[in-house]
Amino acid sequence: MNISMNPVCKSSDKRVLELSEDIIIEILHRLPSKSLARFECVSIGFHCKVDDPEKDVISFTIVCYGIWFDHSSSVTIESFSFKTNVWTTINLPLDIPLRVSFLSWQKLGSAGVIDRVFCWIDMDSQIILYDSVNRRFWALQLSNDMVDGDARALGVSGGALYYALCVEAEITV
Amino acid sequence: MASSSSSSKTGLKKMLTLKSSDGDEFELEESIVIQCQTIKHMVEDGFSLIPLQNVDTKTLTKIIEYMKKHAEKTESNKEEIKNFNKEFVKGSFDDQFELVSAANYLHINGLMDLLCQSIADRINNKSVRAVREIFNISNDYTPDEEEKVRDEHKWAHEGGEFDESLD
Repeated sequence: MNISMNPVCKSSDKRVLELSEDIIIEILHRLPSKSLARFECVSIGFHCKVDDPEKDVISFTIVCYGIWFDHSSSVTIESFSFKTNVWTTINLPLDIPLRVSFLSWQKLGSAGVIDRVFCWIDMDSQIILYDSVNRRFWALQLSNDMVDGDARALGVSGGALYYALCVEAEITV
Repeated sequence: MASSSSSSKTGLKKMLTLKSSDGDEFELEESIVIQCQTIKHMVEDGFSLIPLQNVDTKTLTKIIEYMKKHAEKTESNKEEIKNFNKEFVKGSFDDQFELVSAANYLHINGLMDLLCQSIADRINNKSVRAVREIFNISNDYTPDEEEKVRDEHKWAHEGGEFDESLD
């Protein structure tokens, strides 16, 4: 148990308490990433605390996609990065037009991400993938016996992609 | 302010005495004090008089106020606790830093969380210069180095004025 505490220094008129490093880290990691990045300028010590890789919570990205029925040869990718706190939208032309079953306005957060490839499960019989590094967007067609069930889910665990299918009470992964 | 520790038992409730760095003693029910992990471990080791050499009377009074209120926490007084917390974090940065250091030393997780979040909220829109002043940190970058770090995150320094005030 850590029971040490920084001494309270008393100067003539103003008492200045120096917070210990672990407390400063606790405070900094409650800040939005924009403020965190700005405060890297405070001092070298602050910079190191902000960049503490063990507590790196700032590089996290959400990606959505939308396909318009009329223009299914292109896809709109919207991504939100916690690193920059901004949404960016890109339009990608598709080599192979995709047929998607959900409505044109519908946007879904991805089910998971492996090596910067984001995955979604489509209401139709396909898994949608987007490679955010090479900006490629494609679909994996699932065979019929893989989609014939009541509920389906896609998830990522330990770097592998899992597809779960529920047929009545049985779950196949 | 300091209460006597002459009666160590009131009814069936087990009482504990906390002693501040100024020598003042506070008698409290064990059920209130065990929110604090450091004291809980000392109680388990059989202590009933707990000297807190790193916590002065002013800070300890505030911390006891917090523990007493949070010991009353039920499903029905959530709003009251919320308002209490809001008032609790209103002090100056110096007061908040005293409290957060004590909360960290005493391992009161709820209080630690409350204070760190409130300090973070208060510095969120501050300028780099104000943050240096508030945390009493001297800038150890050379002007060139600072410029370089600033350039790396240009976007973070854009978008409006930042608050230069120190309160």
